[in-house]
Formats: sequence, C-alpha cells, structure tokens
Amino acid sequence: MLLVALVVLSIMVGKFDVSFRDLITVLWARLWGASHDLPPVIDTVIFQIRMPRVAAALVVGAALSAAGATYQSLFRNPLASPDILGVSAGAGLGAVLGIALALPVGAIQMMAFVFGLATVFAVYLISRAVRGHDPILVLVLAGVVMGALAGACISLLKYLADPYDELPAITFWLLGSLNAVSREEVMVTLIIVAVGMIPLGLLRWRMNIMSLGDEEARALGVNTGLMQLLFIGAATLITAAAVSISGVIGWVGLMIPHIARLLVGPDFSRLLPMSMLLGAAYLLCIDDIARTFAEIEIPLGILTALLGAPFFLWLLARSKRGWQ
Amino acid sequence: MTLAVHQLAFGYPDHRVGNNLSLAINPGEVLCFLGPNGCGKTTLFKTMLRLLKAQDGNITIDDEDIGRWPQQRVARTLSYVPQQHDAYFPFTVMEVVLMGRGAHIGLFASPSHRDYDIAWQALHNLKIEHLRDAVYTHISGGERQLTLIARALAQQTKLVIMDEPTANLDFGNQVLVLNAIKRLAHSGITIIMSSHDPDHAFHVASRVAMLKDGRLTGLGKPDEIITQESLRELYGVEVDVVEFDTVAAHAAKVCVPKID
Repeated sequence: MLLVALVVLSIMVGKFDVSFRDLITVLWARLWGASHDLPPVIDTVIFQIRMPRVAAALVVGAALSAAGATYQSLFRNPLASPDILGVSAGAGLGAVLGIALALPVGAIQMMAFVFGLATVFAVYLISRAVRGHDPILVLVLAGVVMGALAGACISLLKYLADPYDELPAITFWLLGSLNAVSREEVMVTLIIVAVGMIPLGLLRWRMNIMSLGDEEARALGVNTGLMQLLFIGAATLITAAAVSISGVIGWVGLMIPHIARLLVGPDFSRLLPMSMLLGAAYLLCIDDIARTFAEIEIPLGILTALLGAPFFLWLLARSKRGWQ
Repeated sequence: MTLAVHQLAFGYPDHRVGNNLSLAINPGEVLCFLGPNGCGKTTLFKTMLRLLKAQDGNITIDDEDIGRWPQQRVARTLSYVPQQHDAYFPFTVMEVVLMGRGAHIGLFASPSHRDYDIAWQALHNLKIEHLRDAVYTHISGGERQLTLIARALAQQTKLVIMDEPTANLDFGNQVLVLNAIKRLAHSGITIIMSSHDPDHAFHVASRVAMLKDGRLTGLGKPDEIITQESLRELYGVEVDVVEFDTVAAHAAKVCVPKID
C-alpha cells in the first residue's frame, strides 16, 4: 500500500509538477485509448520520463537488496553487500572503459554488464583453483582482490581521462544515477532480474541451511557446491543487471537486508520478499530526493550513504534482534 | 545398521591425522571416544560423516562403502551434532530443528506440516518444547546443545555422531545432555560420541574407544578399559579410578585425579 502511494507520489513530483487529477485523467485516457484535453507535454513527462525512472528505481532497489540478502546469508557476514565479489568494481571498469572509448550509452551499459559478470566469474575460478582452505573465505578474499584490481584500473583510466568531458561522466556514473534510463532498458533489466530471482525464490528454504556454513549444511544433506554456484550466479546476474543501468549505488544492498532481518527475522523465505519490498521503496524515495532537492541532480550513491549511514547506526544502536 | 571403519587413514589434504584405524560400531550402542586434545576425534568424525575424504581405507554401512553415496543419502543415515556451534543468525529454535529435515524434503520445497510434527516430536522427546519460539542465539549453551540434538532427531537417522556434546557446559547442563543421550540410546539410536571427561563414559557409554595420535589404543567396555594405567598412558597424568556404591545400590565408578 505504502509502496503504491510512493509510486504515485514519485510520478507527480519533479521539475515539472503533475497534479493528481492530471495523472488520473492521463492514465484513464491511456487505459481506454481515449484522448484528453491536457497539454501533450504531460503525456511525455509521465510515460517517457517519470514512469521508466520510477520503474528503474523499484527494480534496481529490489535487485540490490535481494542480492545483498543472498550474500549476507550465504557468507554469514554482516558486511556482505551485492558487490562483495567484485561485480560493481568490474561493472564500473566496463563502464569507465566505455566512456573513455566514447561509446554510446547502450554500449556502455552492455560493457558494464559483461565486465561485472566476468569479474565474478574470474573470482569463482580463482576460488576453485585455490584448495585446502575454507572455500567461502577464499571466495570473499578473491572478490576483494579482484575488486581492488578493477579499482586500480578505474583510477588509471580516470587519471588519463579528459578532465572536461569524460571525467565528470565517469564520476557521475560511479556515484550512481537513474537519470538517463529509457523504457526499453528498464524492461531488459527487469527481465534479467526476474530470471535471476527464480533460483533465489525456489531455493529460499535451502538458503537457511546454507547459512549455517559449508560443513554443517553438508552434514544436513545439502549439495553445497551446487547451491553456492546457483546463489552466487543468481545474485551476480541481478546485481550486474541493476548496476549496468544505474551505476554504482552503495549502501542499499548492505543496509536494507539488515532492516528486513530486524522486521521479519533471518528465515530467507520471509527475508527475501521483505528485503525487495523495502529496497524498492527506499531507492524510490532516494531517487525522488535526488531529483527534487536541488537544482542539479544529486548522484544517488551520495544520498544513499548520507541518509542511510546515520539511520543504520541509529537502528543498530536500538535493535535487539538483528544480527545476533 | 552397522557402521564399520576399515584400515582408515584420515586427516586434511596437507596433514594426515590418523592411520590404519579399524573398528565396527554395533547397532544400538553408545560408543564414546576418549583422548587428549588434537588426538583426531573430530577429524575422524568428520571423515565418518564424509565431510572429509577418507585418505585410505574405507567406511561402510551394512557392508556398503559410503565413499560414493550422494550427500543426501549420507545425511539420511548419519546425523551430526557439531562441537562448538557459532550461531550467526537469530533463527528460532523451531527453525533450527526444522533444518534437520533438509535431507528429506524436495530441493525446492519448504517444510510441510508433517515436517513440523516431526520437529515438534523431537523437541518433545528432549523436553524442550518450551523453547520452540526462543531465539537460538539468546539461549544457554546447554539449551543450544539440546536444540542441536533435537535437530539430529528430526533428521531421523539410525546413527548420531556427537562431537563433545558436554563441552563448555555447566554441571547441570552436562547432566541434562547426558540424560538426553541415554534416552536416545534407549530408543534404539546408535550413538558415536566423544568426551573430555572419562566419568561421562562411565555414565552413558556401552563401549569406549581410546584415541591417541590418531591411533586406537584401547577398545572395550568402560569398566575394563578405563583404568589407572590406560588413563596415565592416554593423558599422561595420575588418576585413581574409584568404585563405590550409590544410594540407589548400583555400583558407580569415578575418576579422581591426583593433584599435588
């Protein structure tokens, strides 16, 4: 309910204000294929600009939160976020490379998606190659290392980039924005995210057993290798899809699953839907603030951290049933 | 169901812990492993559970090599009560016990009413129904241990392996857990366990296996095996094994260490 109200409000607010009555009129007309007597610019604002953007915020927020919840449960680590295995760093490198090569927007997003997946795949291969250690530990460490490598490459490209043209674009991308999202891009992302959600949804109860750790899960009869592959694959896919249209938006995937866990407990069957719901609502609010608060758009990554971090601290300080 | 170990070599890929170990566990017995820290009890258990690969030799259940069994079949035959349990997430006791049903329900399924009934029965058998909605990370060590035993019960296996079920528990909780082990044994479950306290072997074990440096140094009834000499050899300390008559008029033995 709250989410629906938020969506309606989000479509209305912005540089060009749309009144509630206008919105209803336009929607009504669209629904019945009739015409209305409002200026056509309202149509454009609602269907071409606001709706894709609102949809993108919902999808990206839900995707990042779902991936965060997955990694936190799988790695039993409160600091796990969607980019723990280097997907954001890899996607960032792909995008920055695309910007440096002056590629069109669609190609930049494609580069981000492919580089994000490739980075995690490399991390996974490394963890398979290193034997005789706790597999999860090796995986996370490999993720940190690959993330650092990608980060170094990004820094190099930024250093070499044209400071008047490319550098602002790179910086803006790395801080996250839903500024230039088109309807088609949202649809593609939505489909990829939906595909990635399938294994997470089907295996929701198995995840509880996986969160006990590798050895105990195996003693309880779970094929942990296969589960890990499926969970990591799914979470990486949806993160890469989200990051490729939104840029790097931190904090959402780290914080939202925590809050969801405070509300419904650690059972993944309830944690996953609650995380997605909260994540979608949260990013929508953040995006509304980003485009209404100041004359220029504020990058989302800045807002999620500025608003999220203090709220998160406050929550941790007063909660009893969260992590432990 | 008879579990047997044949000329087993066990350990970690880069570090062998034990060699050439053979023994058979009789159906319905409580076999208690005794031995100093690092003697290989936990490693042996993990090998039996196939969490570690047997480096040589094999493990059979009813003369069938379990080396190639799928993990699910192992988990339907053997359950595991791990030693120290790091709890990460605040699951409720019921949720933890339900996880024992993992080997029985479909890959994409969640626990059914029947699974809830089985989990509830497990809580009932251990007399911890009142903990059902308690948060696992907030209960005492003894209660956690009982919860993990309940989870093994919900797994409905003929064999249960318990790694030091009484470790880090206060005296009252130790008795609670020992009683639970006795009850399980009476219901026909075979129990393989380890303990740091030879007295616990006197209380619950039908046989004792002594393990030192990955080798079996003694195997037999507690009365025959736990002696001044064997304890000296095993732990390197002087101990008196004293027999006395209790009020209930059955003989009991305790180990009394000599302290200067």
